[in-house]
Amino acid sequence: MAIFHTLRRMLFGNRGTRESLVSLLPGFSVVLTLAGLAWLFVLPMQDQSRRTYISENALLPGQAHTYFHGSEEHIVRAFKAEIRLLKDTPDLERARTMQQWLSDIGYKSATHNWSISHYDDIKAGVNVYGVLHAPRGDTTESMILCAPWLTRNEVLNESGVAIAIALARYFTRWSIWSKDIILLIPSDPSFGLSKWVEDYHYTSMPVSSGSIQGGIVLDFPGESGTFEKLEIFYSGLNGHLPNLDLINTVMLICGHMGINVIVHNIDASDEDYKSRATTLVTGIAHQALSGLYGPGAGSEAFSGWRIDAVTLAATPSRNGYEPYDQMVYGRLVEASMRSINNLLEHFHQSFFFYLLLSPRRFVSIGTYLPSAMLIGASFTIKGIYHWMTSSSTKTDGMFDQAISAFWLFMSIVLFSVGMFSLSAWIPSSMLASEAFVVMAVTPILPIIIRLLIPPKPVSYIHKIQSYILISVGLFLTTLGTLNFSLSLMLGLMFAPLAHFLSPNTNTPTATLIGHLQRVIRKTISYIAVVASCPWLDIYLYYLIAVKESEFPHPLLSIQTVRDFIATTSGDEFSKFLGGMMWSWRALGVWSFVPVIFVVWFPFWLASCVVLSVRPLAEVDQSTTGDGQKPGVESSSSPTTDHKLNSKYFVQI
Amino acid sequence: MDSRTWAVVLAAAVLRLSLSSLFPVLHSVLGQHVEVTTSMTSFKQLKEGLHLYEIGISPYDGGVYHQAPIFLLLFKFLGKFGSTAPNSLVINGLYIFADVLTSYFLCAISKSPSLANTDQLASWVIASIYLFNPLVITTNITRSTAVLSNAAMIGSIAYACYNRNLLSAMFLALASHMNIYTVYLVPPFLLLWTSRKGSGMASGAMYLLLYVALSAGLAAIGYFMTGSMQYLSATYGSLLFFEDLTPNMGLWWYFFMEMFDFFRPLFTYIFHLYSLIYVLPITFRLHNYPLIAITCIVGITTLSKSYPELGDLGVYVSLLTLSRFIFANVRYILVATLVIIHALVLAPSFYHLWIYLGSGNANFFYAITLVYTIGLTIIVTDTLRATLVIEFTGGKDPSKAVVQT
Repeated sequence: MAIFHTLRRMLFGNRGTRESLVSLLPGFSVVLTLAGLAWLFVLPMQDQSRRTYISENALLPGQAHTYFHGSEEHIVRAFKAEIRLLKDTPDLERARTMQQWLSDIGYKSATHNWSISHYDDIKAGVNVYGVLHAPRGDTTESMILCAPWLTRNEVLNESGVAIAIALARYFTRWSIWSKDIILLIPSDPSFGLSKWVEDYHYTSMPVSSGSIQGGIVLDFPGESGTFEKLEIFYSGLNGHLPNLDLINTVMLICGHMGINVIVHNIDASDEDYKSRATTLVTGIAHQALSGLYGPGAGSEAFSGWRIDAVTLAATPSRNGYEPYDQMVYGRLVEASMRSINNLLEHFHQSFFFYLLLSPRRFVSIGTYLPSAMLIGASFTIKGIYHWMTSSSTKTDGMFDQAISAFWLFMSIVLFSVGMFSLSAWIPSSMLASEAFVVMAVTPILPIIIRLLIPPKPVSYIHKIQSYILISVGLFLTTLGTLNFSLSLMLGLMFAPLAHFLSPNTNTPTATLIGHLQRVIRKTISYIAVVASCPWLDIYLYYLIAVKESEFPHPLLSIQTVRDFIATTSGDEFSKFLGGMMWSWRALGVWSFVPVIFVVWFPFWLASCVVLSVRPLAEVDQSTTGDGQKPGVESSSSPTTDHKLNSKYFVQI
Repeated sequence: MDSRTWAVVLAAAVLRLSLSSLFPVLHSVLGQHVEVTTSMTSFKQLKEGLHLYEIGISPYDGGVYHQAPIFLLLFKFLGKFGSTAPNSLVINGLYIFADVLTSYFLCAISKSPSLANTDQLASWVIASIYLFNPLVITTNITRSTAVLSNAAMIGSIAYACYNRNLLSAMFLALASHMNIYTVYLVPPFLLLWTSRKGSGMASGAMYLLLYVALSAGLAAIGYFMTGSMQYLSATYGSLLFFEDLTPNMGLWWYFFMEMFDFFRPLFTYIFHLYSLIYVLPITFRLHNYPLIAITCIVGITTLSKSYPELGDLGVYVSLLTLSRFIFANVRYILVATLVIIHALVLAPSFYHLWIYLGSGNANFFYAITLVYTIGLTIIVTDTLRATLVIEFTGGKDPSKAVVQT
């Protein structure tokens, strides 16, 4: 015991055990954040990941011989020529023609008119689909073969649609199908497709089938009919992923056919740490931000409906480099459909939570989840620290203070919810103006808060901060189970708020060093708050991710930057924000826009309050609230503290 | 009740009314959440039972309706005044009244002579802790009938605190008729009555007699309403033998789903024994603190009953706030509260992953119910320990006890 006492005295001086432990919490919190971040970079190491494997035995990928070659190529070419003719025809006429094709090859076909509108912003189109009832099935299950009219880059999906229709025609000759085949040609791969999926489940369609077990989306633009590489898109909306077995099946078949497959546009043929790490990080970004801007690859429209789907995106050959023929692509789809057809029950055997490190390597949830959870926990720990700090002073009316701080916090959250309803309600064209107003108000916000909110005791400010951090911790842990990537990204974005934001103190400082420390702390706090401002970060994201190509890299002068901002902030930024709102409105991406307004914005606003509210001069109190050494010098004995604290814990 | 309390009550009533009339979808959305309402308290199933009853078919045929017959009588009676749709005025009125009544009883308990020398929160605080508890509001919006049985239970406690023999027995009989687990409160109540000065044994016996007679009366009403005793097996029977395996926040469903049929009787017995076994020891050990004994039993029931729901936790928390003086000695309340809050937020998200997205499975949800139970267990044991420390130090200066332990 003597050793323990000496050790404790060496570490903490003459403080009580509780104070010693509490004073360790901020450091522990920083360690957790760093550990979470470090964990992410351990994952791409050689021994941390596993090779993918087929878990569901029924799939039998690549076991059946494929016959989509020879004379079938003439049919593909013929359809391609027909499609080229339809290129500039109006939607409805085009849909009618294609519906006729589907009827001719023996499918029960129909068109599906869709439109979604918000004020004068109308999105509409016509989808075409047909159903081949399975010779060996009972119309309770189906699989989908989908070729959007436009690809993810908004060009004509010429080869994709032609191969899909030719395959559909070819499939009618087989008697092996135990699941209905739905051939779907949506007018675009995002809104049109997701509207079709929604209507398929919610409304009664003229032609229908059973529950959709899986799907392949074809994305193959260009006339050439040859492609140089194949990329697989699998990220769903809201962090949802298709079952890993489906991806593995496609990968394995590609391996059999000698097709070079890539994920996230990263060539991992020479597999090393760097390529694995890049794939991981890009995968995380894709998962977190999927569906946000521009049309998606198509497969994400099926997420949330218990349909596992992947997009096979072929890059047409350039410069005469023609390694793969379009018929290879067709056979790949054929073999994948055969595997889905083999399923005895819904995809369930393999992983739903995984991160790919390369086409053939993955880490499962048990391995990667600690990363986001550690970061989430660091917020909770810091929140507990602020709570303990705020309740270790001897103040009367602690309970009232806690309640009043809670009401302030809640009213900020309610205000943000109001902002969200407003933003969802106003026309998309006005969003940029709203964002502009908000951005204009943001710099003077601290001054407004300083003027509006009367000085508060330091413990009050600590309470607000503990509410923020505990809520962030709670939110991130929960989000981590639904959308790991977004949780991780937001966690890193909020991290400065947890570690570098120290509330104003009223510690009298006499020395120069004291003043200097105070100024530095203040500056760091300001930087932390500004860096985590949602509007600023969204604008930066827009500049970096969306307008990357126009970014003035080589000659970075004030003039080029000014030009850049002028060209990028007008209509296009408005369109970008509108696209974000649409992702919530039409695609149901709840994990971004609502999260910004209901979580990020209020937490940031509350942090502004923490930063800018003036501390009340408390003469009767010993100094506390200094960001790093709270309540330590408090004259109250640990016993009374304990009594006081615990008394108030329960009441919240 | 002072003016501030009335303001709280009014605000709570307005909040409930506006939530259910402005967002009618809340009822159906929350009603699907298994954490909030179970088949033993579901309003949807009550409506089905009511319909069957009104067209003259026994509501207990077909295994849909598992609730007490008295609800049928009540809702049939209310049907005379208007629609009994979940968001109608009549139902709103009934549920708001039940919650307000509960908060009134809670305030009354805090003001009762037996707690006069303890440190109590102001009435408006007690009322708002109950009325603005999100768990209580959610339970209210889903129209779970647990709102009514909890009101009856708190009522029986309140009248016991004021020595009102008949009324207390009546509410207890009503509560245990609606929710059989309230029977666990009979031993502490008996102890409460027998420990009265003067005619201890006599008033205890009287209380038991009243309780049994009133319960028998309620059972008889059930018999005359449905014409048979079939309702006993459909209500209490299905609860005791755990016939409905729908997931909930409790510990039971997962075990019974996984289990071979021939183990079922054994484990039914063990699970019931587990929830029952604490009642007598706690009653006797805490005979000096009857309210804490009751609170503890309510807490243990909440975590060990076969169909628990979140409203029970809300009631338990409110009961805890009445024994404020023990909180000088609790140790892990902050941790336990955070654990429970995390579990409460994670539970719906895991349920969503499992049932709607199909990417999670039953283990996710069950794991989180375990976490929830751990949090609750910490609170129950911690408050129990705190009470024993106070008892040990003679209740003089609880803060001294911290130093000694």
